[in-house]
Amino acid sequence: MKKVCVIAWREWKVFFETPFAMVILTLFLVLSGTYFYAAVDKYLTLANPSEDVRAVEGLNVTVHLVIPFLRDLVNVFIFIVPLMTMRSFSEERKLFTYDLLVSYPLRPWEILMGKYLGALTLVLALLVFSLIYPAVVIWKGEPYLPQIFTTYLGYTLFLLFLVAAGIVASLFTENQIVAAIITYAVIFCSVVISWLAHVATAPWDQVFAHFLFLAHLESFRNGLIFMGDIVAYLTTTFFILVLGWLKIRQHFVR
Amino acid sequence: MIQIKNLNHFYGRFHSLKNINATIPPGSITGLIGQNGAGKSTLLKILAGFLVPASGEVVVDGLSYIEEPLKVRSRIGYMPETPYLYREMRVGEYLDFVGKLKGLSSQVRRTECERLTEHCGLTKIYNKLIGSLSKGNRQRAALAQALMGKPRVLLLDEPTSALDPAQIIEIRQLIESQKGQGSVLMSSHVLSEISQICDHIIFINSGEVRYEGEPSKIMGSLETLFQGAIKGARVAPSSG
Repeated sequence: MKKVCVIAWREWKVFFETPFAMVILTLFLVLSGTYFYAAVDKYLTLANPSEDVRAVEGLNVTVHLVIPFLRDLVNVFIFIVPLMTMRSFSEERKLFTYDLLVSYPLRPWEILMGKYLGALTLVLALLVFSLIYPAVVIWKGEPYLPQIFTTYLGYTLFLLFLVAAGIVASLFTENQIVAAIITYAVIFCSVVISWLAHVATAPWDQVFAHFLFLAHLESFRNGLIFMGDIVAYLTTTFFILVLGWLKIRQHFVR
Repeated sequence: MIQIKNLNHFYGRFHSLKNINATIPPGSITGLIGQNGAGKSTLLKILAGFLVPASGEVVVDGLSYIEEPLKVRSRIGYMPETPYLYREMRVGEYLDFVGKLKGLSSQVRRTECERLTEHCGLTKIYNKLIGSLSKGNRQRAALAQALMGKPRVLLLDEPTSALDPAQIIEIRQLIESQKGQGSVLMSSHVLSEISQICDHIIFINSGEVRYEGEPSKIMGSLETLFQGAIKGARVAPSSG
């Protein structure tokens, strides 16, 4: 585990000691800030009905401000996470530092988990930072906290899966852009599968529903925690990491 | 000691190493010589654990690579042909990082960093970013990371390539200082370099071992060996 932490620490160091961190943090702040401003603006418009804007029955800050903002926030992560994970293995392979890494007395899972935990902790740090927006709403209003909690739980599970997809995608190519594209393609596949889940007959509709990586977040956003959603994210994340482990293990077994 | 038995490797359909059998004696500096594309780097990458052979076995100090990959890797120090190191790290920081990956305790790492800083002439560049170093200094840093933890086997892939004459002499001296401390296998296509510092030679051509033994026995024939390799013929060592 020590060696895993050493590799993960190096990922943090690379992130923060290059201009890349500034670009990613700026992107995150600009995009999330813009979404939050738009959500607040829309809520205030609904809260002050006029001739052009009808009054909304049951207007509350959780359903009409926090959840719509958090629904948009996931798009920010879908955009940014592949950019954060694309260089993980791709850059090492391109610069041949991967050769040295594999020659050290490290197990395949240590190499993989070091990279994964390094990227995951960075992404989760961004998720924690995003709490500032609900915190502002809590300061000025009375949102329903359990619903915010379940939403963030769902986002944590989703990010476990998305970071795993990004890390393993970077294992299969030396080109960082291709690695990012592969990760975006995984999300796109989820959209395609959602169409299949709607048109397929039983039991295939249930099978395809398992892979609705974005749709699973809806129940969390509604304040509901279903074991099926948790299992879907965790099993898919595990499967992806096993794929990465097998790829690295090629250097260790015939 | 390294024993290589019936090693075969393929790049796709290309048979890069063909039934390689060789022994790297303990305490020796063994030169792996051959033309460009002969299979030197491929063999070194297999010994370093980056590539897996299609068949055959590599035994390091009695440990099989297939059965005990971690233990073998802990006994090896590897310096690749083009030592790309982490450019954003400082030299001392990088050596400490390598020490952690090799499982060394903090006290041992500290001692090793001090030893290697002096031994490899890294004092002036200890706190410099690797990305800002000259080629020669990067080679020194790469050699230092290979020597971290006093490995029993040192694998050096063209350690003096693209260096100026003064730097070549310095690196050669560093390599020679490892004699007797373990097995050193260094690859080169420069005959004079091999003949000067190696006491055992493996000549490889087109993925096959064409000669293995003492350089003194083929000193006069090394050039002939290369020329024979170009023509694809085996050359017997001279008796003198």
